Amino acid sequence: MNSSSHLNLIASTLIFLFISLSVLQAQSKKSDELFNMSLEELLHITVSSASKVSQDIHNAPAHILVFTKEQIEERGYYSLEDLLRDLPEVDIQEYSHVFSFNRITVRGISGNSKFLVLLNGQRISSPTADIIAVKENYPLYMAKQVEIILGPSSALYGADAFSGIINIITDDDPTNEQLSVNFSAGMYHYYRSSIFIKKQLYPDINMQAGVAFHKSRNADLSSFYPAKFRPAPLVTFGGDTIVRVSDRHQYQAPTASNSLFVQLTAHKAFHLALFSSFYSSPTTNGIKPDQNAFDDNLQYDTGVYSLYADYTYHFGGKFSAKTSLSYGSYKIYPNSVFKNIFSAYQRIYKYGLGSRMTLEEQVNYRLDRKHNFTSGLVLESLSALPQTMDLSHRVQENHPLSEQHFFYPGTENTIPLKFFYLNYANHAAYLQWQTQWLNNLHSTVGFRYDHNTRYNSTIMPRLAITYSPDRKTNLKTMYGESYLAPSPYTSYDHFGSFSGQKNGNGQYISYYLHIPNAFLQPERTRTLEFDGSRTVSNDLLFNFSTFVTTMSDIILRDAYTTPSYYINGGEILNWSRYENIGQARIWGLSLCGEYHLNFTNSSLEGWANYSITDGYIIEKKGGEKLDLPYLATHKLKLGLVWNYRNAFTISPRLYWIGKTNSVWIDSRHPRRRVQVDSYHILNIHMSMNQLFKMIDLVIDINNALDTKYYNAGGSTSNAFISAPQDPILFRLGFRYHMWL
Amino acid sequence: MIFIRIESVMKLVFRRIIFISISCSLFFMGVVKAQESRYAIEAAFIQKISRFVEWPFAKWYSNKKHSFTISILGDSPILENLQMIASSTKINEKKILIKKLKNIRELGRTNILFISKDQKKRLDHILSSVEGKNILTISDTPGFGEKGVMINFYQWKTFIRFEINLKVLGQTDLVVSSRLLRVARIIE
Repeated sequence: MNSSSHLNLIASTLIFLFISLSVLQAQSKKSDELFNMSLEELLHITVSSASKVSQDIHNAPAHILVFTKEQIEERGYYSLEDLLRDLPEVDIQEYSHVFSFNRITVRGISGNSKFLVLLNGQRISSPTADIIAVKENYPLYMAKQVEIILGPSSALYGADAFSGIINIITDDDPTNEQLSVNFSAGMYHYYRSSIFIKKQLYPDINMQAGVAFHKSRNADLSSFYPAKFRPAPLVTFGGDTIVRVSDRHQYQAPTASNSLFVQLTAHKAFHLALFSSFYSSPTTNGIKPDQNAFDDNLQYDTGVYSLYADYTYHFGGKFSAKTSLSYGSYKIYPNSVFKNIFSAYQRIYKYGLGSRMTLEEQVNYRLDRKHNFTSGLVLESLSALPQTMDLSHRVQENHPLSEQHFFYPGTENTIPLKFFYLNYANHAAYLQWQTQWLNNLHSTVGFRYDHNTRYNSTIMPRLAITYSPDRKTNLKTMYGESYLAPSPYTSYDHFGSFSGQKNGNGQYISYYLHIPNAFLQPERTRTLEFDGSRTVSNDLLFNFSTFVTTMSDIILRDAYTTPSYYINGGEILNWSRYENIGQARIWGLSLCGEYHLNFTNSSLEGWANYSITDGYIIEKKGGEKLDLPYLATHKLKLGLVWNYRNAFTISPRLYWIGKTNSVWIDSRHPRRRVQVDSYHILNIHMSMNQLFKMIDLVIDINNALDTKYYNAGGSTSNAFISAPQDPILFRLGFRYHMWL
Repeated sequence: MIFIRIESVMKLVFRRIIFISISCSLFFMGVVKAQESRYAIEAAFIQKISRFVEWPFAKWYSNKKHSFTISILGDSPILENLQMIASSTKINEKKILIKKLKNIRELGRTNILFISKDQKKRLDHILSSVEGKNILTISDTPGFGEKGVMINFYQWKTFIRFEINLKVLGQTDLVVSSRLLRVARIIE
């Protein structure tokens, strides 16, 4: 080893030791302090909550919302989507995306790939930030607690912790052995079920395993919204009638999902877990009936698989560390098929893959009672075959794509399709310092550095100050930055066709193609936030949150009319590709109140959330300020849980959603989007507990008032601007729970 | 330029740090303490609740030499938190004695019996063993309150709450303050 290597090693070791001075430990209330509190004061003390760093929720440098298992059960949250629907500052559009069915907007930022879904801190959303549904494929039967952070979190979690983080936490307690079975069936052939078992295999080793599935034909929207689904022939852009009205299939938009969760826990310190999730979304969803076929099996099927192992340990009294190794993969199944006006009503297929291997070492150091440090190192290896262009036939997964005779449409099978195979790496380091300046004043300073081989490096800082003027009041001021990596899908999105005509040079002419841009950079946000909470009486809580977010380098499609020769043998007269050309500013305020009341025989929990979110986006340099898409400025969400003697529970939830911006520009007001009308819907969950020994009867009614309403539809020209929504859905089921 | 320098330093550091940190991780082994603060809060509640409960007159209890006894049946992290209470405070001017029980047969004179989650399978037997003994039973396990434990802690949002089984409590001579009932969820 030469002297330079020695110096490097010494330098590395010193830097490691420096980074190792870091924390984790939650600021557990000191025992003396707790013992001197009154009974009422104790009722206001929060339990430490798990996130990347376990800490007192009031001192956490983020806007965190926590839902316990009891709340999840009483409110009837079967899936993550049910829970997200009740959050302030969250918009959900159904029948809005052919890939994901729903489209979730968090604090004005729309897109299902713009927040992370974690299971015990490990990523279970797409490893390569692809667009996937967040519906029944993310069930909550295994959750002990769900924690949601609204706002930027890239300073700890890196790429894609853009608009927020959702962390599902399971119960590690080896003594809670149980078996639970849920099943419900309802209108439109809706079925869903989950089975969960938690068992201690050996002393200090326990296993939990669960499986869930759902299947539904969904409501026949053509019969509920006949004006939107008038019978029409299928006609190509060229005017050729492909299918006459009399030969058309009936409307259909079935969905299905399944998921699997298995986890082994040893000594509460070691976890080995597998989570898989599959969702089948109809490629007919939200598409105008005169531009889309309704044949059988027009589905877009995606799967996400996550396998992780982590080990947490303490040493030297003040140090603790967590080593984790995880592997995640994503797949668009080769049977994913479209049949619409863009494919001239021919079946066209899609395929795609993505994977991520992550090794992370987190070291925590508690210097003294007032100073905590957390640091981490992340090493990631990613690969992807981004979603392919339209394929004329199904991919044979066992054969190389280049040998499967895929050609650009309109080239008489002469120009082979381009496929892109990506292998790239991401390395990161983060450091966070938390200080207790006074008993009621805390601060957090941190940053994360990411080096990615596909795009420029990033440094994401965060700063937070939390202050509690008294035990019932908590105030937070936070600044944070986040970034959204240009996903393989976005960078290599590729669609369009050639006309079959040739130019003077013998090149095939395309009148429109969207081509990849391998040089996309991350989107970035900077957010300043001020939060407050106040416990008014024993069980009456108020909190508010205000924020301003500035976004830059937003990835948007840019169109060009100068010919492109991106594809050998072709001339593309009009083309587009994604560019980092957008910028936006978003601001918002949310007000939330929660009430919990105990009576002699019953208890009542109520909540009300009102949020106002607004802002603008500039979609190209020098462009106009436009309304933010997929956002309702005003949202009011109310809910109740009334529990009578633990024998009967009813939870009605009312949502009033103001006018929602679609993605389409209003031709009368060029700065405005076309808006979808405001609406209100009522969902009800009821359970009659232990009706038959350990069996509960469960009733769920979605859209109980049978309101006809619309969500903002898709962004393609064949999609509804106002997508019709499901009518009333009644489900009846049972829940069996047994302590083993 | 500064940006490029930072990037090159980071690259240099990564290669070595990862190796060293992983080595350290595998070398140091320990045991995790999870969610301690929940048990600290529950322990504080137990100390506070005991001030709102009156135990019936009994010779052994009126004797100042006797301690206020809290027994913990089974394994629970609450033990060390209760021991901290015992070392620093008194209940009803009595010293607090914390007893760890492996089996309900070890139960002697006690004021409070905390029943751990791992006693789930033996709960019915435990409850029948303490019947008529004026022992305040406490737990923190879902479903224990309904099965007959007098006070059962549960989590509501990020807070600890407790439910009181009035029916079972009514079968004893223990007197519970209305102040306690006011903040509890009642099981009848």
